[in-house]
Amino acid sequence: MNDIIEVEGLTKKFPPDIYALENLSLKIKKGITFGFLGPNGSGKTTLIRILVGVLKPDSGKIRVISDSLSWAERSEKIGYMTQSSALYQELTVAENLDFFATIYGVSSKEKKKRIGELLSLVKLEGKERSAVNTLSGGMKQRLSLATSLVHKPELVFLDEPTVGVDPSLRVEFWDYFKKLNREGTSIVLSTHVMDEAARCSELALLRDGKLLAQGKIEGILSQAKTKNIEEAFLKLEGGE
Amino acid sequence: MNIQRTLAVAKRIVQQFIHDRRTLGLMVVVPLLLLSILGALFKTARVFEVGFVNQDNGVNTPLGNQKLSQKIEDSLKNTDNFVWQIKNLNDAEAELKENLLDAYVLLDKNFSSDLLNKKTPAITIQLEGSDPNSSQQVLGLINQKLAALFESQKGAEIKVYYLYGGEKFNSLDYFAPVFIAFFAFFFVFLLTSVSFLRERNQGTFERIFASPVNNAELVLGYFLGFSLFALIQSVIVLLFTIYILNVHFLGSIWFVFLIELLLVVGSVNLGIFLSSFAKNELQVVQFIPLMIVPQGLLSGLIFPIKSMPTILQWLSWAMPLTYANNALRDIMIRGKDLSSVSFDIYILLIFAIAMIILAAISIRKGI
Repeated sequence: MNDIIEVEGLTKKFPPDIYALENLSLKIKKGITFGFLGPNGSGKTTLIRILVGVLKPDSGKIRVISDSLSWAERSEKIGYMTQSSALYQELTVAENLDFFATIYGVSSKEKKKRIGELLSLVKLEGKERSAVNTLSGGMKQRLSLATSLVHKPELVFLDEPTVGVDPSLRVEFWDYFKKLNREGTSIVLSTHVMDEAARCSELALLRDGKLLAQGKIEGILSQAKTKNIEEAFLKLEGGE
Repeated sequence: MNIQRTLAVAKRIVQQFIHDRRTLGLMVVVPLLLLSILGALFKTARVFEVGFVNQDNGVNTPLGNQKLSQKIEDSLKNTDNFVWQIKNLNDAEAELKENLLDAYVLLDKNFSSDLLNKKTPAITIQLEGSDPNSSQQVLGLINQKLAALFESQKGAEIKVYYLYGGEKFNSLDYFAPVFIAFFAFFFVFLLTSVSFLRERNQGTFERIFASPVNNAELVLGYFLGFSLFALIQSVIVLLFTIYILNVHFLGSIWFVFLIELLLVVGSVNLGIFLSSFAKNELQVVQFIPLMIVPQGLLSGLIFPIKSMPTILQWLSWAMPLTYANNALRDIMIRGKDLSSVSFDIYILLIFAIAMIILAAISIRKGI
């Protein structure tokens, strides 16, 4: 099976009667970076929350990695970075990484090496003993990314991963995402920034919980008959 | 159930506590401070000063005028909390008005003749009366003293035996065991509910729920983490009450910990359950007057349940702290074993299981 995620007819409603997602179907291939692009309130985060299993859909079918896996087995293969840097503020950088590594079953031997690698990636070397509540917003965002990757997941969900990250580090993040793809890791991320979306292998354009278009960027541009993704989004959104 | 994941959650709770030294300090310092105040209050008995006004005219006998009241006056004895002052009526009234006396006892002019004629002599007790509580206490003490004085005149012997406790026991011995449980219950409830609420609001729960950690591992991890601190708190409080406040302790310390452990399981899960109804820390604090204060008032912590109105007695029997208090007093003051408090243990066990179920149902609420 070439797809790591399959979604069919997915609908999620919030009280009183707001459709966060409406009859959404899509497929995501293994080993690529797939982006959900859309403005705030388009359903990106709701879709990610359903795919990682913290939210239940009202209807529709979902397959993430494999149907034959138990909840715990599947969770061990998934990394999840939430939109806000969900970290334990009183704990140090190293303690946060150690906690997430342990709950995902990383062995003690491998933990130290892995934490070192990730601290280097997110440029937090020397901050191991700093409490999270003393870090800047950007540092917290970087640590949050590191905690989602600490167990070398097969599939990573990143909800707006580069918010608050400076441009040069953002480039390094994208280089790392490509490296992860080469190693076989699939990445699903959400963004509302057009130039970031352009870096994704494939995209799903979302608006008001509905899928406007899905596929490779070239395909979407050709479908919308535009030169850039921003124009394509506006055109598809207007239903032209 | 994966023990590694459970222990990781417990370790994280412990690490958070270690970093939050103020909370850790308060958890230990506050109970010690409050128990010290209680100890000082209970051990410092109030001294009542009572005037003795003897207006007895006596009776004329062949041997001259004899005052039967004189023997009583001569045998007045002061104690640590009771001081007699022999006064005339005018002085006694003046000193009562100036609050120098708490009360006075007046034997009227016919006291001796009434006794001789086998009539009941009139004894007047005049109380200062502005503080009803003190009035009740001084009245009780006067009655006790007078009864003893009259008995001693007749040569009767009063023997006093204690089934539990003894003359050396004071009020602190009665209150200390239940305060140990109350502090553990209160702090664990407060800290669990605030910690859970923070997890919900910070988004860390969302990540936990997307991880392989299941509800049982999460609740057990929380319980282990908090129990460690609750037990450390209990050990310190227990040692403090025994060695510094000199509280008498008759039962097994392990039985005390068992009761507390059951109470802490209930308290952790009650905190988890109620935190799902709060949106911020202020709302968690609002649960204190709802969940903690009524238990403090109705569980027999301070006021005896038997003397409460029937409806409040029903309420008190619906509170887990009532059973913990019963069991702890039975163990610590009466020196009983576990089989004697099995009913209380079963109830605490039911409370703990009920709270675990409610916590498990509500744990994902609002995620």
